[in-house]
Amino acid sequence: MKIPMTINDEKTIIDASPDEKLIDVLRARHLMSVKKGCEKGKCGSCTVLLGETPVPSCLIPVGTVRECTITTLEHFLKTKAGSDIAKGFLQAGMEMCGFCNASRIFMTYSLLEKSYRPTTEELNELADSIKCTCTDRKTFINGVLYATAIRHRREERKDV
Amino acid sequence: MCAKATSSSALKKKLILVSDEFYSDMSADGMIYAKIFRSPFPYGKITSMGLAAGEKFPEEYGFFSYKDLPGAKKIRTINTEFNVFCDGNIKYKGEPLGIICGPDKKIIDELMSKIKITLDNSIISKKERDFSSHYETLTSNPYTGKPLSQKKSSSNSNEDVKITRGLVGTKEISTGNTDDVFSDPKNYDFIVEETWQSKIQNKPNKEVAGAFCLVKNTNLHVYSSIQWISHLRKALQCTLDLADEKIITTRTNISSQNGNSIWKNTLICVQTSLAAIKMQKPVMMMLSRDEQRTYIENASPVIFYYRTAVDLEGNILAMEINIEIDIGTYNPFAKEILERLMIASTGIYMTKNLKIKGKIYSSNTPPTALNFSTIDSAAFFAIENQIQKISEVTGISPLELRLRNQNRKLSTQKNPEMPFLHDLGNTSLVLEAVCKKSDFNRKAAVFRLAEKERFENSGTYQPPRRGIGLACAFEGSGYFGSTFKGNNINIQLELTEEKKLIVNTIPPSNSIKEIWTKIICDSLGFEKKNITFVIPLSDAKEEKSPCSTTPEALLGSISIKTSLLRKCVEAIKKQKDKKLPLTVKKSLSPSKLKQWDNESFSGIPFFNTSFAACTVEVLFDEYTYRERILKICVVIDGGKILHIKAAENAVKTSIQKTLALLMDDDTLTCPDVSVQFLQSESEPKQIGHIIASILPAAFTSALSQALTKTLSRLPLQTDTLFKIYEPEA
Repeated sequence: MKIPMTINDEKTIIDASPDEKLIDVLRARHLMSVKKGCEKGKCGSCTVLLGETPVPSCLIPVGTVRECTITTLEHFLKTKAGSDIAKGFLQAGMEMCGFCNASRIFMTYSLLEKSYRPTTEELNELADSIKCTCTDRKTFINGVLYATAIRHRREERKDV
Repeated sequence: MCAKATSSSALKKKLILVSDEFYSDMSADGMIYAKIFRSPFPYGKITSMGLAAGEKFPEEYGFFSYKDLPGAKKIRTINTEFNVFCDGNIKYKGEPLGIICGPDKKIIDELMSKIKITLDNSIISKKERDFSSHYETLTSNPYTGKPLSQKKSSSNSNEDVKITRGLVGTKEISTGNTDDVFSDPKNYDFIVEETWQSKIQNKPNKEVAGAFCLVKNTNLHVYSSIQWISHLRKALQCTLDLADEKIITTRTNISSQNGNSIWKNTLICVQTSLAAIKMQKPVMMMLSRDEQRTYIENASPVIFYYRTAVDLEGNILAMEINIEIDIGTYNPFAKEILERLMIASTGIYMTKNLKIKGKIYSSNTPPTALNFSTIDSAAFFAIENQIQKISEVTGISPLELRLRNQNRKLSTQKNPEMPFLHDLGNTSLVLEAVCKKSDFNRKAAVFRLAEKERFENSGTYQPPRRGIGLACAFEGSGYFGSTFKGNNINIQLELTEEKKLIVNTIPPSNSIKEIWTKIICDSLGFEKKNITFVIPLSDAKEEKSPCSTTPEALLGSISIKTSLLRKCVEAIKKQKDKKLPLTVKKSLSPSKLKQWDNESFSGIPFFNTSFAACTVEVLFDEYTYRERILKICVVIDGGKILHIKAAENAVKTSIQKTLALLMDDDTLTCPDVSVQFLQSESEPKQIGHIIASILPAAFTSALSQALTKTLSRLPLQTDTLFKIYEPEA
């Protein structure tokens, strides 16, 4: 079945069975930032942006994302928002295992889109939502805070 | 002898490479996929296996089994040999019978479902008769303790039958005379007996075990997260009948640093390589998540039985310890696992009368996993909880009990009373520091009084149930056991004419790499970019012994290598003005190895040991019947800490990881974690995995106090506390 969609800003037509998992379709296109983790939608290794929302691609049949916009991590990191987060994590000294990168970065992006200045509760909730234990919680939260500051500097937004 | 001689030109050619990529992200033109076809039966003799008559595999698909191996059919690991594929006699459910490969995964699954297996009926009948006779005495499951259901045993289907275990090894050590002490009640004031069981299993959602193999220009290329390079290369040479110089192995990114897949990874690589050679195409094999859990990450269940005689003052007069471990069908490291558990089973404590009996059982279940990093944690879970139970029975404070019974003899003194000696530094200081930091003494007393109050006064208001647990443990690095080959632990540094430093060892993790880089940069004033870590060429050489670089040498020797690195760096510093290139090599001192006597199983078993203590405070929520961890305090004596922030982060990450393993179906968290290090100028020691030895015991001790019930097993389930507490409520 031909399924039109936009993947990483590129309009494309996927030829796949509609019940095929989005993760398999993306990995077949060599978008390897989408990792196979638990394959149950819990670990976040397969997170992609569906529009502006992080979703687990292992639970999404490709037929349901017809005409939608999908962004994977390798493309997102080239954007300004992605670059802010990557720099923030680097500044915090975060070392990620490689499997949870998509989850951490996209969930952070989602938080920063919703909240100009994340509260302690929001940060704790974000840290709780990341199941991977490769990085300690405090370092991750610091990374998010650094990313927030870098984003504000880039957007030249002052404290309100 | 299956390994071929290696020419010097082969050594110069790069046979061992390192890549930052994950093997599962790799691909090549014409790549096909492979899956292992596994036995659905736990036992039996195969008389035929294949597609039904008249059917055959499509052209682009292949099925290969043990008869397709051109060389040896088995892989030798230490003193154990195991089949690459089943040789016809099924040993466990899930044993690899063959490998199916082809371009479409769905068609592979269809083909797998079509393969028919015929078993020899006479063997099945005999096994079932054997089982029936065993059933008379086997009325409860030996692992869970639950009664065996009549229905299940009477059906006796091949798929469900589990043969009783077979004893494959025992070991016993003793000092003094425990029988004398236990035989007369006048000799002691308290007897404390309990059985402790730990079956903590890794729950990673990282890259599964697998390999990517291809044949290019007559060379076999193997890409996988290899952790035991010499073992893999030897196995490939022997089973595939290939010369050493024809095998190029690349270690890809390791997403989950643990020892579980160390030798199992070799098996997977050999299987995938066979498919690649037969099909002459690149082959990608990745286990499924279920296979990963069942065949790679399956932990050995370990059961400890303790019997301790204690006097009124809290002195441990005698201790008997029975250890039972089920290794599944086989485990090449079973002996080492048992030895390490026996050493750790006495913790830091001393008694004049000690008897430790260890038994290794095999059963027709998949070979169990071995995590070298946390091999002692099951034993510390048991001994620390036993001490806690002694404290509850005797009424003596847990801190005082530990201080009173700790083995104060230094490793330099002869101590015939205890077989194992550890240089633990100032254990009293660590214990007192953690108790002070967490206010342990006051809280333990208050919570104990609160329970007494609850028992005596069942009014409408009851304070929340709280508990605080204390545990301590050591982490030994560089175990001088029977599989240790100390002559292979060395570090070589080469300072080139271009003023670049080459270090001939690969750091096992990024944090260790940071620490080693810092040592070099601080001492020699080098920049990071001028330092390169390489895999030593010695791994490509022919080796006479089965595997001279054992996993213990790989994983347990970090502190040894750190110490050797510092010596190399000092040596280069002194010779810096000499003509370049300059090469310095340091090896483990032979005198260190002599401190441990394998024959009598006594002496100083480790190169060095770090020590840590931990307290955990919990609250039992009587509305949700769930536990909440309020605070964790850890104090560590790890020698000189070279990079405090990195060490603190590593410990906190380790706490997070361990908390995630304590519950089967949930992840515990703690909002307040405090980590402190004792200041010390002694040699840096390994502390990366000590948390796994102290946190579980402290957690269960705290919960046991809160619930006034002994929790003797880990991991817990989310409804465990409900089941314990609900009858009372």
